[in-house]
Amino acid sequence: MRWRNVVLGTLTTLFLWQVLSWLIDQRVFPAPAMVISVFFRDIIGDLGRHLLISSWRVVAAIIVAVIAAAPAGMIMGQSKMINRYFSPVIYIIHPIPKIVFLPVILVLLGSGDVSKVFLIALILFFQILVVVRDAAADLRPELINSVRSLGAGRRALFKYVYFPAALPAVLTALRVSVGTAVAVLFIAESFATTSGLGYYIIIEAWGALRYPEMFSGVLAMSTLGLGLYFTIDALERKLSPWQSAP
Amino acid sequence: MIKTSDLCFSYPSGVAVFDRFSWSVSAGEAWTVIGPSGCGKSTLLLLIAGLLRPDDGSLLINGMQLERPRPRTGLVLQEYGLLPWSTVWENAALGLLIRGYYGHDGKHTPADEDLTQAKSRVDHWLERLNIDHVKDRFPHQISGGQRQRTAIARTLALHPDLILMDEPFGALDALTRENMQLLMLGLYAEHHLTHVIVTHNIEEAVILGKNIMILCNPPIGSVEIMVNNDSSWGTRGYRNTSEYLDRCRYLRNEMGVNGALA
Repeated sequence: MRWRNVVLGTLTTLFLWQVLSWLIDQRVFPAPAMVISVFFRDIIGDLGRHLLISSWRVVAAIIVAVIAAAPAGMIMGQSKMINRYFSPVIYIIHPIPKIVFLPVILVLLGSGDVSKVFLIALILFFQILVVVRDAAADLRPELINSVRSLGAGRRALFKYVYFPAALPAVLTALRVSVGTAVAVLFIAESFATTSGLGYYIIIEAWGALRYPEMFSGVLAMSTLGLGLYFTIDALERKLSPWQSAP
Repeated sequence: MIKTSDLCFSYPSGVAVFDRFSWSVSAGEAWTVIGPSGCGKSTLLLLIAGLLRPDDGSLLINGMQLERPRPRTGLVLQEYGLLPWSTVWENAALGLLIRGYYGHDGKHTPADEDLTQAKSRVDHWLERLNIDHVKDRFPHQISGGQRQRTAIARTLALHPDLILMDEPFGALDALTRENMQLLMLGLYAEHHLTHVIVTHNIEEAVILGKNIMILCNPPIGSVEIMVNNDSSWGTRGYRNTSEYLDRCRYLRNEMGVNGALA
């Protein structure tokens, strides 16, 4: 059923794309057949290299964000005192669109991979932190008390209660924010760099008026976003089977 | 087994629940504690479980001052306290997993605990409580009675010498509730474990408690009223005896239920 939906959605998108390319000037809005053929021609060359670089940046950012935010969220969620101190800071910083820090980050961390990974990790960090904190804080006192009564101290509570409770929260936060992360990566890669899909689309394709290449770059970026989304989905089914159990 | 002397406890809000409260329970006794909502029944249980610390006075379990949850005390709460992400088997094994995690430190795990048979202990109790056929299901996939049996199996797999239960069957339908009460009486007849069950249900208090303590309004300074069931308590037909009805009527009168209806 699920795969049927994916196929149906893809076919509908291709159909609408084809109709639009008929209606709009085909030189600036090429048909899907042409873009797909360019995509497969270039994916084993330049486009593939840029896709790999962008993928590694997003995956690295996800790993950094999860490692930093999940434990912090768990600690804040189980300690009212710590939460009381840090919540106002998060309340202020969380809504700020992190992309505005791009110039500052470029100045401080340079134009290499570190600045891009840092920016995406920063976006994911707050998303994960808030969701994990709330998941940990929402655990019923009865649950905590009954596990404590089985002999669990703080370490065992983290291992058997807080960590498994945080896992679906982390995946939910990632699922919600992965689209934003890829979008921010696109913008970050269009400045002061010579690699990544953002650079490929803006500088190599759009700047040179190579529209089929530009669209194949968009297709690669979409593939990256979809691939991450499906991976998170699969991880959720694998790691939190109780959520999908009827 | 349990001995409280001049126990004092107040919540951080300042509400005093116990004020020089003294009470004792001998090993192998079956107690129920009954009283209106907010009278301190559950607080008493959490104190005995070591999950709350008294402000003053002493609380001894087996002659030892209680400083933290002790490994041989089992606690079953109304909301079951099952992990929603773990299967029935994993939930029933949780206490043993935690003991394995800490090892034989004497604090989280009794020093003489044999963890080599952990798996068979879990299997035994799942089978004994008739939930082995749902062992691979998650808590939300089983009935309320099965969830409560899982919580009991988890406690019994730890070989406790004291079982504390807080409104254990409050969320169950009447038939399941009666079956669970019979199960508890059967377990008591088999193992004679000391148990203290908190309930707000008069009939349940009489069925499950050889001794019944009524707590009234806090702060509680002394045991308000104690009732001892007679020798026919614990038998299968006790529910149909005139003694049972007398005890229920007595508790109703003592708790002012009839007065409230008048």
